[in-house]
Amino acid sequence: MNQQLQSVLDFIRHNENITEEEKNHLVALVKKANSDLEITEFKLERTEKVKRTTAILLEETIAELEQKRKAIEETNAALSKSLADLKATQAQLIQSEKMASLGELTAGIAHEIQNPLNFVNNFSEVSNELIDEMNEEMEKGDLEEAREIAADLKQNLEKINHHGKRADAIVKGMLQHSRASSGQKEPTDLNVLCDEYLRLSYHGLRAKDNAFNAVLNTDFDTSIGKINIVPQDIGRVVLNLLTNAFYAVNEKKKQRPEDYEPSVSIRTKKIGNKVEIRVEDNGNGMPESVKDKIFQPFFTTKPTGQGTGLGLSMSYDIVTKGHGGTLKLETKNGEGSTFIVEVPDV
Amino acid sequence: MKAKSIKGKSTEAIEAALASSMTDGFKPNLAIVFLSIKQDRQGIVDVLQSKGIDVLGATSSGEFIDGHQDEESIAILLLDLSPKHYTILFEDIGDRVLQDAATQMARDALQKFSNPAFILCTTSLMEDGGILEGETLIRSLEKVVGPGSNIFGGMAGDDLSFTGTYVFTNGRSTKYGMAALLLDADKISLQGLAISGWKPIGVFRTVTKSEANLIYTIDGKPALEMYLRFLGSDISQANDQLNFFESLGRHYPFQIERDNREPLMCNPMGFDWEKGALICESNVPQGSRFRFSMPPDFDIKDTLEAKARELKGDTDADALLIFSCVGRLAALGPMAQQENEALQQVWNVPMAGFYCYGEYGRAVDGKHEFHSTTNSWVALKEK
Repeated sequence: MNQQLQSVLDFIRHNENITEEEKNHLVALVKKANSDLEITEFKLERTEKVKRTTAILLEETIAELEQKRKAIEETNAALSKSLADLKATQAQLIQSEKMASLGELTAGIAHEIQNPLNFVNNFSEVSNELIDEMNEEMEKGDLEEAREIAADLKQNLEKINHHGKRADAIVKGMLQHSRASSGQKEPTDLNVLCDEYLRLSYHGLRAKDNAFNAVLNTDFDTSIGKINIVPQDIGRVVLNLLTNAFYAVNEKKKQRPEDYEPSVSIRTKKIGNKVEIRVEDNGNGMPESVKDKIFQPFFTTKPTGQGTGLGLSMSYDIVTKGHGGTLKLETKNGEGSTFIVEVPDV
Repeated sequence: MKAKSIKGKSTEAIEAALASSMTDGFKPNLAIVFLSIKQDRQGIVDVLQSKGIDVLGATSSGEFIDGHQDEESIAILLLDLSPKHYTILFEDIGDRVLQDAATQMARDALQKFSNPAFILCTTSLMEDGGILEGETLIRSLEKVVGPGSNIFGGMAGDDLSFTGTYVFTNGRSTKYGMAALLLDADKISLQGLAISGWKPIGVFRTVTKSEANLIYTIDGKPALEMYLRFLGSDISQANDQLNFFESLGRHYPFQIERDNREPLMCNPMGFDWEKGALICESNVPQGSRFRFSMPPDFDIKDTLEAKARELKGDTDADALLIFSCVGRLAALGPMAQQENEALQQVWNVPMAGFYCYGEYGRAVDGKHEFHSTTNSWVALKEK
């Protein structure tokens, strides 16, 4: 018991001037006061202790959380770097895909350039002979004849220039295809673009395998005019779809050389405020299991080394993310496939 | 059922108190005894047995009855109860596994009553230094008697000497086992609740390495070092076990997450200095998630009292038993007695209880669990 209260208690007990009843009452009060004091002292002591412990625990927890925050920051930085690396790798892969598709085009391009080059060579040879003839006529003093030859020469030079420009356009197109896309949409004649890539891809395949033949069908809706697209990107999509179509019909031809006529069609159509490109082949089509995965990156049905597995996934991204359109596949196993690109005409 | 509670500091005192209690014609046939290991257990049993009284007993770490609390003493709840409505069960675990002994007790219980209820006293300290797995015990009983059965009680103490705890009945006593007052719940109603009041603090942590009741690492860091550092302890010696439990372990238990149940309170009982490990009162599986916790607020007595009043409603009881964690005595000081007194005043019936090393009882969510840090009480009423 508290020393002071004990003294009070002793005083009460030994005081003869207080009745027994009063003593008992006072003793009870003192004992209650002592009990309350003990509780108060305990509360004070425990409050101090818990306060101290809580402060330490919270400080330690805060320090620990700070360490964790730093660790998370470091992890974030590492993840950001990984993401940057991944994006760089992705860009490299895209470039690889472009170069791979350029490879598909090379033979077609060579075929396309060969024609103007032949003209250039032929006309320059003829022109060379015409200059000799013109010189002879001038020595003879037949200026009238010399003028006529000069007129022919001018015509030839115009033709050489025309075919030179044609070759130049083909080379520029090739460079444009391999160059990184600016991402800028520009008014583009979709029908011309489709036709050009149809020829390039077909001749490309023919150059590698001159036994290959296919019926090419085109059906271009002239009401489309120029639409706002990124020409390099949509060109890449069309080329990819056509290359796949030619690959599919070629494979089927190898399986059934006798009674099968390969056919690839490309059609454009304006539907309301959208434009549709359909690339159809009568190849082997695809089973459902393949159809589900066809737009996944790195998925390919081609033998190892013949496909990057990025063509369709990139095409899907170009159409959906780049142009806000859709890319769908309709296929029937054994009968052929149709890829349908739909982009808004804005 | 008639009940009276008696207390004493010696066998003679109890003998006198018993005689005094019977002067008005009260004839108890059952005694629930809580006593210090320093008291003469056999002497007390002999006194009671000489009066034809059945005994359920446990050693303790502080004893109390209505209006009185003491240390190194004896507290007894005497009951005059029809022998048809109860029996005493006893299991010395011996070389068996705990589950087998518990299953045996549960089977015996079902043989006796189709709707049994347990007032369960078990030992707590084991020879190997471990603590009896209260959780396993409850689950094993429950498996046989069903999850709805009432199981209230406490783990025996030993005045915090950690030398050995005992449960006993007439003629039987064990340092590793269990004893139960088995009641016919169709005839005796039991109402009770176990409330802790310890509050979680700080973030969730994970036990990353443990084995049985030893925690080696928490969040990948040495467990002992972390516990001491986070609670600001200056313990720095291998032989400071008692100081550890007195100043830390019983104040700052872990609240271990359990699926769809209240968290399990788990007191660190000591440490293994060499291994840098914490020794807990129950097994802590690797991967367990827990939070540190702080002792209850000072108004816990009011909370406990309010909950008891709510549960009581318009009902009444014949007797009250309280099993209060020894940690409450440290964390609440004189208020631990206050909350026991408050409970007794709610029911206003004879009461006895003890400060124990673990409690069995009904959680707030209604499930009967093994607890730690709680005040687990049960009011008995003959229907």
